[in-house]
Order: sequence, then C-alpha cells, then structure tokens
Amino acid sequence: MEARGSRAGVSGGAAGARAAATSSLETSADGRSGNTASGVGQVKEVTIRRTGIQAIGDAPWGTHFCQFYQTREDLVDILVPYFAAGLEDNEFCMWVTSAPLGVDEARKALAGAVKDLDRRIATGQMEIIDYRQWYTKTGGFDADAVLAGWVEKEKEALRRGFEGLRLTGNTFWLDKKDWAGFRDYEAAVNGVIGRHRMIAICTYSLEKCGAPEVFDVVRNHQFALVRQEGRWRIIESGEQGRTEAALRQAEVFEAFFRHSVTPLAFLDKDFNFIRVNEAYAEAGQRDVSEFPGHNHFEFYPSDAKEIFEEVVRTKKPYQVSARPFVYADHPEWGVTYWDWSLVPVLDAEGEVDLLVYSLKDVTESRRVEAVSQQLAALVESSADAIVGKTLDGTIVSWNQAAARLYGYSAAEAVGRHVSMLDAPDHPDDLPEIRERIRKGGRVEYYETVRIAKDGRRIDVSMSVSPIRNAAGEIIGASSIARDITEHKAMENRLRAASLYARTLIEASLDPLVTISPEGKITDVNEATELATGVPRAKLVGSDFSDYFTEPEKARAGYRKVISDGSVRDYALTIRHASGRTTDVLYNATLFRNEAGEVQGVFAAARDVTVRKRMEDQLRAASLYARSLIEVSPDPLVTISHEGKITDVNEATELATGVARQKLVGTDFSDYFTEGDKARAGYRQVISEGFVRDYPLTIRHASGRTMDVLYNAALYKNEAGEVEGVFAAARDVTQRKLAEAELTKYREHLEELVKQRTAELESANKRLEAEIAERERSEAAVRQRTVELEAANRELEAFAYSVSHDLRAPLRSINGFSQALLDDYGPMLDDGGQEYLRRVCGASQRMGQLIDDLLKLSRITRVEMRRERVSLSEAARALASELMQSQPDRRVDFAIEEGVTAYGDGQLLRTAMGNLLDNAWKFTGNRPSARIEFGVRQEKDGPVYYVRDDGAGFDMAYADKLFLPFQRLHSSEEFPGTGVGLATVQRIIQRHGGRIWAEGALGIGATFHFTLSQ
Amino acid sequence: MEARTILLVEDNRDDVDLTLRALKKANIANEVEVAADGAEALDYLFSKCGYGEPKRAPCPAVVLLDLKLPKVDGLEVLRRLRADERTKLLPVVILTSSREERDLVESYRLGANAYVRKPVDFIQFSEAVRQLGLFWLVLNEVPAAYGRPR
Repeated sequence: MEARGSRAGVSGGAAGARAAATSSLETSADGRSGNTASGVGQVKEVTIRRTGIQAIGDAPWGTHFCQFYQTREDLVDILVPYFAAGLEDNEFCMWVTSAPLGVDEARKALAGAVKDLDRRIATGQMEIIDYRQWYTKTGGFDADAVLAGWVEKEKEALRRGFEGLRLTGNTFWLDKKDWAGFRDYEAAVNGVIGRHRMIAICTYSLEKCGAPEVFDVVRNHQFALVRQEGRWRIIESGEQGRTEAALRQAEVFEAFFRHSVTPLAFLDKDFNFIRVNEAYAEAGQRDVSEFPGHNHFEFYPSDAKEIFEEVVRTKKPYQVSARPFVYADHPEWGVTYWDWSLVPVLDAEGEVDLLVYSLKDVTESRRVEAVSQQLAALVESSADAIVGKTLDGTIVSWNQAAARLYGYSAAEAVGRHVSMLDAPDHPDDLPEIRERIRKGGRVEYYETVRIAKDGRRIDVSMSVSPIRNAAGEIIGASSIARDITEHKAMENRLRAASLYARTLIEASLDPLVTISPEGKITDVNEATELATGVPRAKLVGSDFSDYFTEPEKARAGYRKVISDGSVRDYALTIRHASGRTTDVLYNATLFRNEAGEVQGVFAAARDVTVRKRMEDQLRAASLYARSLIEVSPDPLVTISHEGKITDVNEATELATGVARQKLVGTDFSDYFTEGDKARAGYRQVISEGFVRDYPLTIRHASGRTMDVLYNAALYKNEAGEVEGVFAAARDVTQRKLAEAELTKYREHLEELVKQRTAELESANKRLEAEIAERERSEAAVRQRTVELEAANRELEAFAYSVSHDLRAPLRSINGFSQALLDDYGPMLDDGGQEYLRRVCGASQRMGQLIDDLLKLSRITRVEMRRERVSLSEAARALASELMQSQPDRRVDFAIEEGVTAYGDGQLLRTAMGNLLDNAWKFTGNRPSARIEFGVRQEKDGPVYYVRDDGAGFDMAYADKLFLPFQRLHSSEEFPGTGVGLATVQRIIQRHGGRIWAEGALGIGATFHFTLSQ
Repeated sequence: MEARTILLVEDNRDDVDLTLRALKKANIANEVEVAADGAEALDYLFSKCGYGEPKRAPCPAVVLLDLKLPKVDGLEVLRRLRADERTKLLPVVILTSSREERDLVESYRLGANAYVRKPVDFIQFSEAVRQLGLFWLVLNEVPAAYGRPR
C-alpha cells in the first residue's frame, strides 16, 4: 500500500542539501534565503539594495548594521539618504525616532531630500513614529513582541506590493540596566533579519555607550558605521563571523548527514548514487564507499523506478508510506515496508540537479500495529463484556460482548457515563472501585448487578484494572464483566434444593439423626423428638446411646458403622421419656464432607413395632391356613427338590391309607399306579412352574385306586427361592363315570345340530334371494325417481313458458280488440261490435284458464312441508272472507271445532279454499244456504267432509268431477274453469289421501277426504 | 319543470303499442323511450344517469322492465343497474306476464321497486299502466341530486 505523498514545496534548504551532497562548501554571496529559485551559490533575483549611504554602497536584503553617532546631524547625515534611496526603490520605510531627533525634526529633515514625502506618508510607504509607539508600546521593552512586529511589518509591506522593509531604530531611550536584554534582542534581530527582505540600521549614541557596549553592538551587526576623521567608515567585523557561521553550518550538515539514523542518499538525475550515509548503507548491509557511481536500481531493483522518473519529470517531491520492498539480494529478509521521500533539487536553469532520498523502515511498526490490531480483535471477540473508561467514568471503548450483554451498541455507549449501567440498589459499587483504580489497584471478581438497556437486571462478575498511558500514568480503567445471571439462578436453585432436602428430612416419619465421631448427636429431625420425647435442643450434644434400652448394643452398632462404613436393619429399641419403647431397625452410614473426610454417622431408624405386630398376625394366619389345609377333602402334599414328600394333609392319609409320619420323607411317586407318569408331572412343574388337571391314579394301601386330577405349582420362600412343589389332587372317579354317560348323548346331539343347520341354510338362501330382489326394485325406484325429477323439471319449464309466452298474444288479441272497439266502434254495426266483445271475452277466459292451469301444475310441483294444521281455523278464516265478498248472501257456516290434520299448511288451506269456494258458488242461487265442515272417525282414520245444500250434481258424473276442465254446469250458470276440484284432488293425493263426492241434483253435494297420518 | 321520461324495456311490439296506448289514454304525456332488449336498456341508462353527476340528459323517472328479454334478460338488467353507482337508486318497476313466485322473489331480492303483472284484459291493463304512471311520474319523489333536471 502506498500513500501518495504531499507535494509541498521545498524551496528552502536546497542549497544546504547541495552543500552536504557534494561535501564541498560554497559560500553563497547572499548566504541568506528568501530567493525562491536560487540555485547553488547563484543569485538569480536582484536582492541587492541601494543603501543610499556612500560608505556602504549596495547591500543585499537581510543586511543589519549599526551607526554610532554623536550629534543629531550625524543621524540626519546617514538616515536621510538611507530612506530616500529606500523610498525611491519602492521599499516600505519605517523610522522609529528617539532623542535627540524627534518625529517632526526627522520628517522635516527627510522632506528636504524627498520631494513627495507627504504623499508617500499619506499612501503609507513611510512611517515615522516615536520609540514609545514601537519599542515600549506595551509599557516596557518586550524583545519577542518587537521582533514579531518587524516580521509583521515586512509581511504587510510585501503584501502591499513593496520590495521589502527598510527600517531604523534608535536606542537612545535605552538605559544601561536594560542593555543586556537589548543585546540579546539585537542578536536575535541579526538572526531574523538575515532570513527576510529587510534592511535595518540601528543607531547608537556614543555618549551612552561604553567600550563593552560598542563591542556588543559591533558583534551583533554585519557592519558598523562610525564617524572617523570627518567621514563615515565601516567597521567590517561581521564578515569574519559570517564565514565562521557558514563553516559551522556545513559542519552541522556533515554531522547530521553522517550520523543521522535516518537513511539518506543523494542521487543524480539518472539515480546514480552521489553519496549515502551510514544509516542508508547499513539498511542494505553495505559499506558507504560501495555506493558512489552505482545506480540505485542496480542495487535495489524495484517498481519504484517509475516514481523516481516521475519526480525528475515533474520536478516535484514525492512521498510514499509503508511501501513494500523486497531486497533482491536478500530475499530471505522477506517483505520490508518503507516510508520514503524523494525530493528534487533544481540547478540555476531550473533543471533537476540532484535528488534527496530519505527513508524510514516501518516494517517493525507495521508489525506492532498488526499485533495491536490482533489484540483489539481479541478484545472485540471476547465473550466477556470489556469496557474501557476514563477515570471520571466516561466510556471510551465497548466491545461486541458488551453490546450483547448490555444491549447498547458501541456507538450508543461510547461517550456516555458508565453509571448508565448502575442498578439503583447497587449505587455505590463504582465510586469505591474507581478510587481503588485511581491508586493503581485492581479489583477482581466482585459480583454486582448491572442494568441493561431494556431494563433487564444482569448479575455480573466484574474485574477492573487500570489503564496507563505510555508514561505509566493511570488514565482510565478497563472492566471485564461476565454474565453470571445463570450462575446465580443455579445458586438459588441449589439453595432451594437444599431447603427442599431439609424439608424432606423433617417430614420423614422415621427418626433420623447424625452423630459425631465422638458419639454425640449433632442433628435430629422431628420424628426423633417424637420417638424419644426429648426436645431437639436437649438431644443435640447428648450421647446417642442414652436413648436406647440397650446402650451397649447401640454403641456396638455405631462402631460397626465406623469400621464397615454402614449397617442395615440393626435392631434396637428406643426408650421414650415416658418409658414407652419403640422397636426400630437402623440403617446407618458414614457421612463425609466434600473433601471426603468422615464427619460422622447418619442413622435412620424405622419403627418396626407395627411390623412385629404384623409378624404375629402372620403366624396366626399361618395357623389358620394350616387348619384349612387339614380340613380340605382333597389330598394335598408338598414335595422337596428331591421328590420326597415334606408335608401332607389328612386327606392324603385317607387316600393312601398311610400315616402322615410314614408318608413324610418317602418318594411321592410310590403312591401312584404309574410312578413314571407321576415323576414326569413333577418335572413338568419344575420346568414350567405348574401343571393343571394332570391325571393320575392313587393307589391305596388296600389296593383300591382313586382317579385324581392334580394341580401343582412351585412354591417359594420369602426371598423368592424355590422350596419345592405344592400339589393338590381332586378325586374324579365319579366324574369319569358321568363323562362316559355324556359322551353317549353328545353323539345324538350332533345329529340334531346337522339337521337344523341344513334347515337354516336353505332359509338363508331364500332371504338372500329376497334381498337381491329388493335391491333390484330399489334400483328401479331410483331410476324412476330420476326420470320423474327430469319430467318435473320439464314441466316446470313448460309452465314458465306458458305463463309468460301464451299470455302475451292473448293480451294483444284483447288489447287490439278493445282498441278497435274504442277507436272504430262507431264505424261497426251492432253485430260487428258484438263479435269484437266476444273476442275480448274469449281471450279473457283463456287467460283465466292459463292461470288456473298454472296453479294446478304448481300444486304438483311445490315442495311439501308437513306440520300440524288446524283445518277448523282455516275454514273459519275462509268462510269469513267469503261472507265479506258477498255480504248480502245468507249462508250458515257450521264448522266443527278443533279439527286438525298433519300436512302442508299452504296446500291444505288451498284445498279447503277450493272446497269452500265450490260450496259457496253452488249455493249461489239459493236464498239461504248451509255449508258444513267436520270430521268423523272411521276404522282407517279420520274422514273430513265439506257439505252444502246447493245445486248438487248427478252421481252418474261423479267420476268426472275431479278431472281438470270438466264442468257439470255451464259457465253462464256457474262461472269457473273446472280446475278447482282437480286441484283439491292433487293436494289430497299428495298427502296420500283420497277424495270422493256424494250428491244429488238440486239437493246438494258432500266432498269427503282422508289424509294419510 | 320539464316532463320526465319513462324507459319502457319491452321486446314485444304489441305490448309496446298497448302500453303507449294505455299511457296516452291515461293522459300521461311524458316522453317514453323504448328499449327492445336488455343490452339496449343498459346502454341507454348508463349514458343518461349519474347520481350526483351533472348529467347531459335527464335520467328517466322510472324504468318499466319486462323480465323475458332477448340478449340480457330483465333480472340481469336489474342486477347490473343496482351494481352501478350511476343507476343504483333508479326506480325500476317489473312489468311482466309472469306470476311465478321465484320471479317475484328474485326481482325484489335484486332491488326492484315494484312488481306488476300485465293483465290479459286491456281494460285492466290500461288501469294498471295509468296507476303506474300516476304514481311514479307524479307522486313519487326521488333524491334531488339524482336526476331531476336543473
């Protein structure tokens, strides 16, 4: 990586560099700088000024001389021509006056020589001021301020376009006691003026100067002017000094060059070495003398040559930073890094004369930087929060773990005060620690609580150490925090667990006790207090053996624990303070601390008083069992591993005819007709654990035999070990006889079963055939249903079309007939008008027919919703409507109360409406009429009826009543389309009912109907 | 005040003439526009009507809409009129031969303002048309911003 260097100008110092480069001193005529393009020892620009003083003639910028005077005429003599020349040559002039020549006198004197002085003063080229406004402006004399003042004046002069500054200052005001300070000032002036475009004359009154003073003055000025023998002469003491200064300067350069630790080299414009210093030679492990005459890139080939060439081309200096370089002759040194600069020095013609090459090896500092970057990375990647802060607590660094732990990003945290992490209940943590850090101490692993950004409390373990600067001063602190929230939680859990354990101990019903190695009780639980009747406080510290009926046995148990590590079921009896005793079994074990050292004995007792009682009960139970065994009518026997009888009951004695004493100890197989089979049974028990219904025959001592079935099983002791076989026999002699009888019956039974099965199978087949038949018919029904649904849909479409399309032409026929009648009626005769009226009437009737037809079809199509319907109520409502429609008719309605039916309310009301309409209509020409509605119960269910005493009908046509559009009367007699009764029949049929009519002409009609229930 | 128009949507020429005759007989002189199918009716209405919009031509006072129509049937016309902001509030009277329950239900469900069955008898038909005209053209009020001419 290479940083392009600045291109700052290097005007100054070129001459010195050249001098050092060539190791030859060329004392330049000017010896001063200020000329921007000076070559070596040559003055290109005019720097020589006319002094206006005859004795001096010309002098270059930077000349500083003094005048010793006696009278004011002496001053005028020198200073008037001095300033006249300066003003003429466009210099800025400054005359600081003092006695014996004041400001006004000086001005008057100068005006005599300079015609336009007033103008020049007005334009600011000339300033004549009193010393009090210059040297002692601030009250006393301040050398630095005065010096800076001159330089300021020069700058101002140059800025305003003057060639430079010409000045004079008088020292008449100076007291002897101030002389030493002024002398030093003059020495400084000498140094300063030499580097500036200034010419200065310092005037000294001889009256005020003694010999030492004159000597000092002369030493500090390049020339001194004195009046001798009526004319001014120069004392040239300064030349010697200047030569010495130049020599010393060269020596300094030489020393600097030779002994500088900075590698330096001078190269010509083709990059050949002119001269190198020790440091440069050493860097390449060569000798200084090897270099001159060789090319830089011969020794150190690299791509930097392009940069060198650029410097020669542009004549501008070049700097690089940390540029990598590999020594071609020492590749084993690896890559080195260098900061270097290459500065061109120009000759009088402005061409590159030589190049100054200075270098700095930054390989090591780069390495250090890398290491410190690694360290920074370590800090950054640490799992612990690492925070750096100043002594007053301002955060200066914040690693990622800190960001994770506390929730603030580094950007948020840096610059804030660490107290932002303080928990309100841990407020004093940090000041104490800060104090310790301030004194250079460390704080390690103290636990505290911090507050994260989101307000969460974090338990942390903190270590804090001071941060020191390079000088070893403590400038801050670095804290490392580890989140121990989890750890704390663990501790809390442990504490809880410990509490839990203690609770368990206390809750134990068994007396628990710990005993010290000396046999003293150290801890007890409540159960121990209860068992001994002694409070805990008294128990602790007392001898544990005091509480047993046999203290010696207790101590022996204790010793056994010490020697064996533990005891189990050690029987002791605790004596209660009241004298009551408790039998206990002790389990005890040594207990040790974390280091494994024996701390004592932990003993747990179990109250076995109850167990003992249970054992007694068991014994009693055992006796009881024994007696049961004895009274058993089945021969029972136990047999040992070896097949010997170990126990028998009385039934066994009876079955074998052998006394118990003789049976026990003999081989069990001896008592069966088939001894081998008996032994096989025994082996089966051993291998399988049991046998069931194993048939054997017991032989009685008398020779008689008994058929038995044996059940036998292993029996085990309390420890689960097999003790032998327990066998129980059952006498099956009688059962065997019964079985033989049964077998006979069984054979007959099978015969019967076969016969019955055959019958059942044939019945089954019939059933299957029936089912198949039913399925077929169901499929047919489904098919029919689908067809009917399709037909229904067609019918619906047809009805819709009829409703809309058939009526439209009728409307046209009717409408235009009417229009004809209205508009052209008078043009027709009566016959014509009558015809048109008939056309109108016919179209109206047809409209009515269509409507009725649609109504009928709708009855068939609507979906039925069955419910309980009050027919009486429907009849009453319809009757009242009819009576309102013709209020002048006298009709008596007899409607039976509480007649209900189960069916579709809408449809049933329509049916009732049609029947009552019918009755109303056909009683129309009676002066008074009676219409009845009622129900009667018949054996198939209720039969509803509507009866009237109207026109009636001829029963011969009864079957035509319900056909649509069939009418038994003329329209003139009774209006209608003949659809009403057809509609009623449809409704009744949809309800699964039947309708029929009875009647006689002129008498009346009765309509009966049923509805399925 | 300018007399308002009636839009009669009817494909049957006879019914158109009879309706016009009935209106004339009832002394209803309002202009009657006739659309012979549903599409024509929609085009006409969407170009005229606009609730709240300053419109070029006045919207009809009432639409007499037949159900059985070529191209776009009456119920569909009604549905589109109600779905469009411009004609959402337009009074629409269904004037049809059908007395099918499902037509009635569907018409009202879609937002018909009235449902009138055309009687076969011209005298009854004339009476029905007279009453319709009287009601919708004279008695009935519509929102001012809707379509009254300014």
